[in-house]
Amino acid sequence: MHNSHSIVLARGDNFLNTQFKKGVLELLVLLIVSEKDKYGYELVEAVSKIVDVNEGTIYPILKRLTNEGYFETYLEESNEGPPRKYYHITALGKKRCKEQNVEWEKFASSVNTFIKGVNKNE
Amino acid sequence: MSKEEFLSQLRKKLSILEESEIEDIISEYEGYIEEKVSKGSTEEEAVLSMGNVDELAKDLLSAYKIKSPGEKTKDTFNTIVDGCIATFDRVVDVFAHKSFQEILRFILELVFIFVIIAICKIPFSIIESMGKSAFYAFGGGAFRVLAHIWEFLLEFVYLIFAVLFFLKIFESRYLGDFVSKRVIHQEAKKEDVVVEKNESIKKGRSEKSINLKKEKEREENAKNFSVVDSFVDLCLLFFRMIAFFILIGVVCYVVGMSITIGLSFYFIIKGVFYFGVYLILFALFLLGILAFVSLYNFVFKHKNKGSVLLILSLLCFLLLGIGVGVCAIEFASTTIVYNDPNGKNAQETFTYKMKDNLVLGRSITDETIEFDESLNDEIQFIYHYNDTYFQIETRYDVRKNNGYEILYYWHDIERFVYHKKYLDTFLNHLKEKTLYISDGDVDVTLKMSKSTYEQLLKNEESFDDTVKNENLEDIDFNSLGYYYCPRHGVYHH
Repeated sequence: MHNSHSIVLARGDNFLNTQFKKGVLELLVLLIVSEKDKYGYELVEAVSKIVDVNEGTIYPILKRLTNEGYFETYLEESNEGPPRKYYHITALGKKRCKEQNVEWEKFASSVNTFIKGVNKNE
Repeated sequence: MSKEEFLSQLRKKLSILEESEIEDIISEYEGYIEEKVSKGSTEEEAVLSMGNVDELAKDLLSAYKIKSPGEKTKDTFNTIVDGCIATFDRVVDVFAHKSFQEILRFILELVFIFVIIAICKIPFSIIESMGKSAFYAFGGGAFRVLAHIWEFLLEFVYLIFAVLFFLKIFESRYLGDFVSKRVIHQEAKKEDVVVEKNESIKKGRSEKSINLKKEKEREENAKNFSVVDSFVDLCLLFFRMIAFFILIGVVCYVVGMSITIGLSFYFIIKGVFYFGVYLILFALFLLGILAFVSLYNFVFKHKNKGSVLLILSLLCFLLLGIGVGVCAIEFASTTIVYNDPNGKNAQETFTYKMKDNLVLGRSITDETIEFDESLNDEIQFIYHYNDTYFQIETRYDVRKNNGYEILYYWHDIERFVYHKKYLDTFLNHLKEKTLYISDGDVDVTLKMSKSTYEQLLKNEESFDDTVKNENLEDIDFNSLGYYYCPRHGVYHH
């Protein structure tokens, strides 16, 4: 997530409408996995670098995206402990990622324009 | 909370899933926590960072499209229909996703528009009637025709005006203005969520000022809605109260319909097949249930699934329509016999001993008389009737008036529904799809000797004369219980 629309989302439900959070987290997860195959905890770490969330909440998203066919998983041996489950993005997932990305860009830019407009008027 | 505690709690919450799935999830979370611990956190911290177990379980279950038991579970009825309505859902998307408030506001505004249109009719009517009377003032013939044309023209213009006005308002309110207002409203909500990076970096004071700005923004947006919203809230409360009372009625209706359905099962067991009627009853019953569910949800603030209710009620109306159709066919195939071939096959009889001062309640000249010398001084009252669906009982009563004894006689009908015998006959006829409709007439024949007849005739004449000379208004009818009118028989008072 090094593009110009990087954001910081504050912690706490008074700020984060859960539905909204889920949408953003899904996009982040899709983007991260589309760059490189990752295993669960690696992903959780990567997401927490961008957004301050409970680490447990990422897994349900992974599970759902896998169930819906956007990801596939494979096991790979690790040096430290049991084999790890890696997530790989499917063609369907790439399509979904692109769509979500466009949606987000549209949404974020229109909100930003609005906020800038309000700030100018103040 | 320790790792073991966390995992066992999670396992318990996920117990609805397959064992292998649970193992998969648990091992994944175990991996997370272990990895986090290996990177330097304490176990406690690692568990804490996973978040709330309930939330997690809910999210996980929703990944399998399962609602967690904490949420309101869908009833099975809904689940069955859900599949069928998936396509329809998209069509009614706009309405299904609107809250009740929005729909209510929509309806209120619609009513308001109609009221305006109705008020606009007044000037039209005035112009119309003025023009009409002007035409009439010129006289008849062609001017009358012109008056009618004038009337028609104005009505037509009003119709066009009403339709155009409605469309115009509707377009601007709901397709333009309404939508844009809603978007602003929603954006104002979402705005809280997103704060641009550079702005939040400043933190502290500047963030507070952003919050203040947002508050103002929201208040401004709220102003546009507050009047309407509070009115809508008030209306909603009022409607809830009314709905509650209707709910009570609906409960009674559903109970009544259940009994009726039970009765129709009895009919089916007895072999009476009028499926149209049963279908109508069933559809009405379902409609009652639907009304109950939607009212209940409305009163107790549960969410109504609009599209499901819509589909089901449409289904009910479809059933009702089919029922009426089938009913028509079935009734058309039912033979109705107006004149029972058995005729007046039953009779009831009673006898009364003749007295010197006896007068009959009904004028003897209006009755059918048969002479039978063997009766001596007895009068026999014979009632002939058709006993297919009912039985009669003869009744009489004797009253004294001016030294005369007046014999009132009549019959009561015991209707078939009260007697199993008649109900069974009725059911059998329905089974054969034949109904006997007799006019329910009961013929009375009086049997007496000739001398008795003459005596009665004489008594009647002299009694009538007595009553005629008397002021009828002086008679205390309440004490009599009956009103005697010499030529027209007896009326119950």
